[in-house]
Amino acid sequence: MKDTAYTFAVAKTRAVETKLLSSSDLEQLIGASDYENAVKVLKDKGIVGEKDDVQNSLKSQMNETWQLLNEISPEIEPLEILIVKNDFHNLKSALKSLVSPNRCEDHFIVPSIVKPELLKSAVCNKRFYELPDFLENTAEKAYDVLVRTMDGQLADILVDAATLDNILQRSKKTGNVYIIKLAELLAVTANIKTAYRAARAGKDEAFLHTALCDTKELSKSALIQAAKKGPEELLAYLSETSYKDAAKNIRASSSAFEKWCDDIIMCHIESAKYKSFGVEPLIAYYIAMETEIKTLRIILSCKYNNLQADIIRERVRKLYV
Amino acid sequence: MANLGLALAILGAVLAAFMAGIGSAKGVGIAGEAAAGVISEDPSKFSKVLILQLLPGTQGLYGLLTAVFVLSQIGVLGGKPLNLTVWQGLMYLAACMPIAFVGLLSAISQGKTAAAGIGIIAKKPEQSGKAITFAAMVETYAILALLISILTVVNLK
Repeated sequence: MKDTAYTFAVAKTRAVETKLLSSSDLEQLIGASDYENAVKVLKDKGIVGEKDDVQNSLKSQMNETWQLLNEISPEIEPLEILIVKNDFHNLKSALKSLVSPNRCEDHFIVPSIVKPELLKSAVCNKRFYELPDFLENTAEKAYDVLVRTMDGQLADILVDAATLDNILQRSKKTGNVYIIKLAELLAVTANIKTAYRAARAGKDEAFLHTALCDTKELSKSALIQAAKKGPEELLAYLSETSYKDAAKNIRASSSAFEKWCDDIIMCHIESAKYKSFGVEPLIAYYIAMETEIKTLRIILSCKYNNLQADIIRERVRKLYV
Repeated sequence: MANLGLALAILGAVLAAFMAGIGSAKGVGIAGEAAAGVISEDPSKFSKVLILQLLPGTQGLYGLLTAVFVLSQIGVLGGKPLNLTVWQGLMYLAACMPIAFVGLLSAISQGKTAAAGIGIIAKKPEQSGKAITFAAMVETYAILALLISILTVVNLK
């Protein structure tokens, strides 16, 4: 599809981008004396309705953002890369509800490509053929592993690896360099996260092979070899790659690394600010909203636990605006 | 052969109006889509985005102006068409080409620049003057093409 087909959508996105929070807004939130005052600031800014529950309100905002993009985008396929992870998350929740008393509905995330109710019914009734192709095989495999081994973590790993594979495949299908790079960054940061955790837990090579996905910029086999030897060897390997900042941030703290993962994505999507046509500004807007809501949750949670402003600032993500 | 010369001159006039008109229609359409995107969110910016949407429309007028000059020169508008040689007809046709092609392409480019400018207005309405300037720069080349077409047409004998 031609980039000019997105003219209306991009202009509308530019108009709604003005409602995104700025650094000074976040500073105001951080400066609030306690949790209640922080919530009051959100209500004053109209981010949360006067009588709404904060968490529910933040949760519904992603769904509203997706609905907006769905309405204005001339085609939805290139954007589905943004929400496909929610489908795989919902699959994990549905699978776990088979072996635990927890209600999976409480853990479902929207927006998603497949309706959570359909996913639940397909998994609970073992009618995996009702699911779309991208979920069917993974659901069947993960279900098989779960009932055979009762190992929830192994099933999770299968689903997580399938999520990244699916994101990479979808990105390649679009042929859009911006989306391909975004998918690559998502996969690389997830791989580093998984490899480091696996190295610390002393997981074997077979586990790493299942859990990691193939990426262009960071060799899977080299990552496995390094992770197999231990966390320090993995960090030493990362220090020699273009992802040396990952090693530096992991050494600093887990929250610094999580922030780095989000910030590196933000640095990439920022180039969409200068594009007047094409799908890129729509993708950037969705990720900007996602980051904003994540940051608000972090600030509110810190406020709830009475953490100091400096500690909160260390965790605040880079914003799109 | 006299009729063929006249036909060539009329073809030139038609192409000037037709191609520049298509360009303007596309350009105004592109800018209009962007304008609608902004207005759907913030109707108060209507007047600012309207100026940008109108800019790519001028090429169509330039094409029309050139066509009117040609039709007037060759007597079609007066109801008494001249007997033109093939060579004279070709000269009128050639004279119309600058505004036909430059009008088509510059209007589309101007539409895209205007749409980008509308994006600026969406985020920073106080910068609308700069957004209009960017789009107006494209106009220069349409005006140059119009000048060449008109000067050639009025000086043909």
